Amino acid sequence: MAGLELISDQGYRIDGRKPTELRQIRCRLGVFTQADGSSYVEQGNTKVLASIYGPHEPSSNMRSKISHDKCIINCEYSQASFSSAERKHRPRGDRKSLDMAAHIKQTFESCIHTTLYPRSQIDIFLQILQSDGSNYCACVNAATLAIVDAGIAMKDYVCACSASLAKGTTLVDINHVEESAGCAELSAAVMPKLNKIVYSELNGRLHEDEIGKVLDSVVLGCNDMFAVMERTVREHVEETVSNFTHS
Amino acid sequence: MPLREPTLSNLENNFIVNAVCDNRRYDGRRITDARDTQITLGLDYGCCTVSLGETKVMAQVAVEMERPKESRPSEGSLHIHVEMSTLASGNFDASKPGELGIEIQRILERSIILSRCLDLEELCIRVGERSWAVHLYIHVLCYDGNILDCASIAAITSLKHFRRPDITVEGKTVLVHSIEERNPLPLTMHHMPFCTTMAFFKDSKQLLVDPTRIEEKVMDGKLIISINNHKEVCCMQICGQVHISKPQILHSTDVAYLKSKELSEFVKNVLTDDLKYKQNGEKEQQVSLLCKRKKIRMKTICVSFTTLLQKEHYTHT
Repeated sequence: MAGLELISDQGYRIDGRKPTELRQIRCRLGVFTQADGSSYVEQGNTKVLASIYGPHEPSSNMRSKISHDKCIINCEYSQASFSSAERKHRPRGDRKSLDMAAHIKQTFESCIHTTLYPRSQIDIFLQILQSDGSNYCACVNAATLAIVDAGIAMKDYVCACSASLAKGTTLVDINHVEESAGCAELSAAVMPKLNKIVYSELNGRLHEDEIGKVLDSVVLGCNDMFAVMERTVREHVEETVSNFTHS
Repeated sequence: MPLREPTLSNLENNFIVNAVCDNRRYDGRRITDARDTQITLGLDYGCCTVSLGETKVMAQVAVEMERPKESRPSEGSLHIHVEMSTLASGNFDASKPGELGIEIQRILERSIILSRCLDLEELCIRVGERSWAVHLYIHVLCYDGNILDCASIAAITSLKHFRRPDITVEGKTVLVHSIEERNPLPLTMHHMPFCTTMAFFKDSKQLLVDPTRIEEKVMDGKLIISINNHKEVCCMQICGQVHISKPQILHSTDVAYLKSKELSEFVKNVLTDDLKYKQNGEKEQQVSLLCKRKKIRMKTICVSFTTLLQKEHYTHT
């Protein structure tokens, strides 16, 4: 909090954005042919690849968790060793990776219509190619697009965004520098049309009275994210349909 | 080899959900009541066992000297280790932490380490060369739901109870004084964040504080808030099949704050009593205090949780 100025006097952030501005978002659906659904999302410098396999018969090590009325969701999260500024080898069963995978699994367990796919398993694989803050949010957005690509039924889009508080102003879509500056960071996954918060986590200290403000800006950021994601899906569908009709 | 957890029957499931819809719980508590908390401090500094109803968690603090991290040469470090042994519950596997173990460890790390609750700069001995590494071991002894709340009380109490050896730095040598030479020093804690877990039922319209094991199996999702005495939220997590709105979150933080305030007072009293016993030379005495949690009555929470738009006032009896 001391030393690094997160907001300049003119109201611009370190990377030149306004406080309520999201980073540049680029997304693509259907990047892999092998997977049932896949997507690639770039949020500023954070780049994530997501692939979905399923619904399929549960694999041998998940046999014990078969449920007669819903599907099991298996999530694996992996951060490449070249993804951060300093090269760091991350082993497979790393605590932070397992924790992040568990969070994403819980997010989607409440949003996918699991009762439509009994006795099956849906796999979500996430790979971070470059990490520049808001890893969880980029992963959730990428997984949502991949699930849409796979044709799995969901209650609504799941859009995630992060926000922080600096000098009384809320900053939306935190990057790595702002994350490590020591301010509180609130990430949330929201279903925009139903206007419900599906998952939320807060790191760092935030006064009770300020939570409302930060939550509001997170929800607004998620709605902006939703607009971009919906446009991407529509463009992808138009492109796929035009390929059918022209050939 | 861990046992498979027995499935809950539909009858039990429906009974609990219907009771919650009527604002009642199967063990007779109110929806905002936590179970009875009991703190037992051991003979050694830094050892503490906390029971929340039938859930029991033991915490122990130990220090060792180490070389500080290169990116932070003037700070010590705090490491939290959580052990979910099979003695707590047949389906825990001691070799793998499992989803629950990792969640507890990560939330305690975020609530205690990331919120800068412990002063790490005070743990530095020689900048860049030597510092204290504090290790906090949490062992779950008995699982009856809501390990996290119990573990957070145990962690904070044992950190506050702990005394590290006094040292003298002479040039390049560090002299560690034994307990007979000089009094050991306490760790500096800026604030005490306590976690409160709230379970959501019935499409997130009803919340329960401090779910038991059976309620945890039946719940839709949960909201975990770690808040300290100064109304600062140190960690918050919403997970499971929960669809909640902003007024519900803000209301839950109010509930969590009242509980945290009560717990802060209780822990301070336990520690001062223990100090008195130790000063009187009653070394064999094990301090054990029972706290009948005061029933915090919140008028609006007893009514349906969705009618939160009016400003609430609560009475504390």
